[in-house]
Amino acid sequence: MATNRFLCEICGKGFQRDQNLQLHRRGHNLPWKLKQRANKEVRKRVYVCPEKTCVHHHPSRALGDLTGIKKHFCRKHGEKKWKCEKCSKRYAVQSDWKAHSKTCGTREYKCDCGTLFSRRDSFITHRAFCDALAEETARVNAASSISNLTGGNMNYHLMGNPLGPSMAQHFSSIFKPNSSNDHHQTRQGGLSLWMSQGVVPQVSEAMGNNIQEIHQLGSMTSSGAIFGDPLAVSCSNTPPSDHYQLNWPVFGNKMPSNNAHEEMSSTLVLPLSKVKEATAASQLVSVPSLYSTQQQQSHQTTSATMSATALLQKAAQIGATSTDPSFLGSFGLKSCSSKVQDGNNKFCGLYGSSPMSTNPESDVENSGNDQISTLDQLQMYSAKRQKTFQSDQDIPAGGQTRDFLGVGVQAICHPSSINGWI
Amino acid sequence: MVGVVQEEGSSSVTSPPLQFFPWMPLSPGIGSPYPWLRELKSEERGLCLIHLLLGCANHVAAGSVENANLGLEHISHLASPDGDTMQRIAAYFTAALADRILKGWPGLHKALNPKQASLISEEIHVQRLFFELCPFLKLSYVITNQAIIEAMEGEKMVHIIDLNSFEPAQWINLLQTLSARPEGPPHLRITGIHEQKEVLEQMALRLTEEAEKLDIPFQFNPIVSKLENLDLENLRVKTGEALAVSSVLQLHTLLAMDDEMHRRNSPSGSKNPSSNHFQRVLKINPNRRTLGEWLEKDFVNVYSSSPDSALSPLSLAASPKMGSFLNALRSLSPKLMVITEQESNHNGFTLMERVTEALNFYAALFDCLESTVSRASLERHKVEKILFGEEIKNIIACEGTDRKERHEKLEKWILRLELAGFGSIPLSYHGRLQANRLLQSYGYDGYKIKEENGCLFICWQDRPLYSVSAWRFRRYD
Repeated sequence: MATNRFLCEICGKGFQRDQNLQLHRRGHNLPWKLKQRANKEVRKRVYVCPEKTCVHHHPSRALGDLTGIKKHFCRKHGEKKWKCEKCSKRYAVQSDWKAHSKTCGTREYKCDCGTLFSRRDSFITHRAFCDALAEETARVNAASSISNLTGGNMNYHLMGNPLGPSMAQHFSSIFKPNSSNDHHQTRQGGLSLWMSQGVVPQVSEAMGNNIQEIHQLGSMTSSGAIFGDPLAVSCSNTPPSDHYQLNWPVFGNKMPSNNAHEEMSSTLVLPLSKVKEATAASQLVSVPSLYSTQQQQSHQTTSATMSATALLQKAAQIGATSTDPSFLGSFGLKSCSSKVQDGNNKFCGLYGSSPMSTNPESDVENSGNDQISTLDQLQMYSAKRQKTFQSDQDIPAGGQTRDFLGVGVQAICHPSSINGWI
Repeated sequence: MVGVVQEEGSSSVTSPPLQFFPWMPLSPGIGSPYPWLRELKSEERGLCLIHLLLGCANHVAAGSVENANLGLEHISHLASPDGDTMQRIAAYFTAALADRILKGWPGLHKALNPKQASLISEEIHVQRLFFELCPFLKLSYVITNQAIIEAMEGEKMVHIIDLNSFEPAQWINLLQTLSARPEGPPHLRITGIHEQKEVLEQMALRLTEEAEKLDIPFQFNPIVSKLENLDLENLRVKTGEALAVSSVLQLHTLLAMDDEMHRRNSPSGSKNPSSNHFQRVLKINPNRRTLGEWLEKDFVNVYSSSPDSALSPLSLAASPKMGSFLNALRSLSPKLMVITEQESNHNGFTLMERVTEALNFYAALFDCLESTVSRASLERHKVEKILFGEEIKNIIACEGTDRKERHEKLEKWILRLELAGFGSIPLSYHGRLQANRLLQSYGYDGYKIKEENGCLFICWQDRPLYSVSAWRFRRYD
């Protein structure tokens, strides 16, 4: 019988392994200073892996336990001699094999993407990152028809999120100290709205993460949804940070604004094609826009208004392609604006001459410089070719670019000064 | 003109002809804007604004005040803090540009911007609003806490230094998770740093209350100080404690320095010493092959004229404040330091660089708010004006030691920290999992967490906005 070499100095209990002694010592609640062991001069025997290529071969990465190093060697450098009967997994260490065969096939979780899990935590982990799949299906289904809700796995939503309730409530209590009540209220209201429409059993995750969340929330906040007056709750109680997706105008709620109606119908029918140009506004934008229509009347959905990031990208694109005459027009007009005395400046005269007291020459200079500096700037953030732009400036006014100011614009604002500066 | 624009792949928006673009000469004599300006569709107005903004910024950078003035005048007819995203952004960018110009007349500037105590309490309130409206801070806290818990496994005495301690929720969350630890909670000390005493008092109250409820031995040490004036000796770090540092959007303020002086003083032949720098880094990190490869690949690029001047070897030299802070931190040998920073380069030498980067970054942030909060919301307006607006103003209008909002991308932080002797700790899968759970449980849509080389990025629609990375003090073996 192996001796209990490791002794606890507090109570004298003996242990075969050092790790077990340490675990035991924690229970004594030692103050920090005494936590370090008194006799550090005792040299402990450590074990290195005999395999030269192994990380644990180096003494700085030695293990403290003979059994441990034996198991390590078998696992990493040994042959897997033990095989599970039910599944095809092989093991090099007998204890690993025994432990596995106890749990193999006992409980199984299945994700909708088809992967099987025997452990709850790995299942949850996977599902959190399986959102890629969920998004895909959301996109496909949102495009086809929202009302077509095919049967989904309601069970897996409820079963598969055991940590969800505690975690979310954890979060909600921590991170929403002031407004947690309000939010719970609206959430329940939103969910009951959903339920009262009678489409609960047919919810599919095709609707995207939103629905998953709602169900999770539903399952956690109350097992039976409170069938209060959902409209009253969600309409009247809209704190600014209310989550838009909880409002479900899709199912025929009365809209406070007309805007919402037409925007919603447009987004419902063709959410994708409409936002296709908004490069930054991916399908994720079209989904929330469904739910954002119940905001105040002045609020426009993101599908109708391009997001700022999309605008910036578009501006860069326009800058890159040199054939955009609006640029031409803009620069031409700009230079006109800062010019004072130009005989042909009847266009400027239309709006009254700007009483610039500076010299016409210096104005021209400035405007020319403006053009160049702005030009350079555009080059900086969009890889634009200056040459093609220059050649464009030689396009006669009679070409494609005519605005209501008439031929005059191009001719006026194409003074030789511009060409002279390029 | 219309035809050509639509070729660009514009949307099915039927636009009024582009001749309604408002860069008509608007002399000061003409008061009201043209009524048809309001009929401009938001997309065209947005594009207008972008071009005008960049043009105006160019003028400001070149110092031609008259033209800048005209540009601002043009923009003012289109921009508005109550309009759509692009209008709001333009409003704050023009305010910043105007502020920059006004600094040329210090008397005028001071008269219009007196130092007010009420502003400070507004700023604090707005920080809280930002925490509530957007998930960024929550995500950062969750990831930070997860990293702390993992690093402090088995530790009985934990000391956390919070570089900007204003939100108790972060530590309440940690206290709760710690109390559920299998080996029981550790003895926890939190040192909170903030400029306002009242904020720290509030923190102390909430946290000690929570700790008592959970029966965790707890101590809160408030330190009323600016980060740059922090004397790390005052932190009273005890031997035997496991130390963790949490820095959420703070570290960049230490990069503020007198750029002009720095540029003048560095030797023009700085290439050689810096190349040794890089070679040392390569040797020190044999395991970090990705970083080494990156450095090797960019070895050439760094010395050639890179468009991003912030990556030049010149600017990588630590600012004095950052250098001394990191050194002092190293002397405390923290077990863990978690840094959250804005993922954008707002520290370029030239104004135009900063303007273009800031435009892209704040466009994403404003879009974020636009899609979660209604336009009429007063809280949103406050966050935009007092938080983002002031940051934008600082980035654009301030220089030298005044310019505190020196955001930099993670790649630069990695270089800095590695050179200062810190080693990167990859953030675990669990942290990312927690963050995703948070997003799902709150139903925040459009946000993503991306992982790269052990660091996490919090993204809005694929645009990374904030980076979170974990570091440890690295002993040279």
